[in-house]
Amino acid sequence: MDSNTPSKSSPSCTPIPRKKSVFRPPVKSSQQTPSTPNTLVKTSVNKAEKGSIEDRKLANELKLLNNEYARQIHSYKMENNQIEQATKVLKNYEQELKVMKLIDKWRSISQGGMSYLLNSTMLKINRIGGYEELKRKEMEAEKRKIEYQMDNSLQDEMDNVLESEEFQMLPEEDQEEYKKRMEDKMEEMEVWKERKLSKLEEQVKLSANQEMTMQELAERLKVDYKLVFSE
Amino acid sequence: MSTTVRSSINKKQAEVEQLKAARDTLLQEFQKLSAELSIQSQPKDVVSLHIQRLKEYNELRDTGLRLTQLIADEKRCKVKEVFEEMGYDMIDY
Repeated sequence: MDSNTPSKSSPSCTPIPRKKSVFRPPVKSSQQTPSTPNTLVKTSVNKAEKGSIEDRKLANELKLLNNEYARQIHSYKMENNQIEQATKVLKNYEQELKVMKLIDKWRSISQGGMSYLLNSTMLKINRIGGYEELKRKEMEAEKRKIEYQMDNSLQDEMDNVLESEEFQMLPEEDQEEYKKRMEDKMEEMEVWKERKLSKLEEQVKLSANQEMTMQELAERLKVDYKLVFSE
Repeated sequence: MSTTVRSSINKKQAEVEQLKAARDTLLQEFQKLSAELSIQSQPKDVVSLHIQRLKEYNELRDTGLRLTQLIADEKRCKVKEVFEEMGYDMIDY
C-alpha cells in the first residue's frame, strides 16, 4: 500500500506544473499590457480631478471668507465713523444748543413777518372791497386768460388748415368730414370752458363772508406753513 | 494664489479685530459724554437730529430773511430797521 501510493503520486505531479507554465505567460502578458496604461491614465485623471475639485472648493471658501471679512471691515468703519460724528456733536453741545436758540429766533421772526404781512394784506383787501371782491377780480383775470388761450389757438389752427392748398385739393367729402371734426372739437372746448368758468364762479361764492387765512397767505407767498407754525 | 488669498484673509481678520476694539473705545467715550449731558439717544439718532436741526435753521433763516425783505419793500425802509422793530439782530452771533 505505502509503496504503491508514492508511485501513483509521482506521475500525477508532473502534468500539473506543465499546465500552469503553459497558461501563465499569456494571461500575465494580456493583463499587464492593457491594464498598465489604463490604470496609469485613470490614476492620473482621478488624482488630477480630485486635486482640482478640492482646490476649487478651497479657493471658493477662501474667497467667501475674504468677502465676509471685507464686509465686516466696511460695517465697522461706518459704525465707528457714526460714533465719531455723534461724539463730536456731544463735545460741541454748546453749539447744538446755540442752533436750537437760533431756530427759535428765526421761527419767531418768520411768524412775526407773516403776521405783519397778513395784516397789511387784509388792509389792502378791505381797500379794494373785501375778500370776495379780491376773489372775483382774480376770477375775472383767470377767465380772460382762458378765453384768450382758447380763442386764439384753436381757431387759428383751424383757419390755417382750411386755407391751405392741401386742404383745397381734398375731395369734397373729406373736406366736409374734416370741418365736422373741427367743429366738434370746438364744441368740446366750449363745454370745457363753460365748466371751468362755472367752477371759478363757485369759488367766488364760497369766498363770501370769508377772510384771508394764514395758510392761504403762506401758500401765495410760497412759505412752508408747517415749518413756520410748527409749534 | 491660495497663499495670496490666505495672506489677505489674515490681514483683514486683524483689521476686523482692530476696528472692533476701536468701536468699543469710541462707544465708551460717547456713553460717557451722553451721561454728562443727560442724553439718552443712540449715536445714529444724535447725528440725524443734528443734521435735521441745521436744515431747519437754514430754512427758517431763509424764510425769515425773505419775509423781512418783503416787509422792508412794502414800508420803503431798510431790512435792518425791520429787524430792529422786531427786536432781533439780523446777524447770528
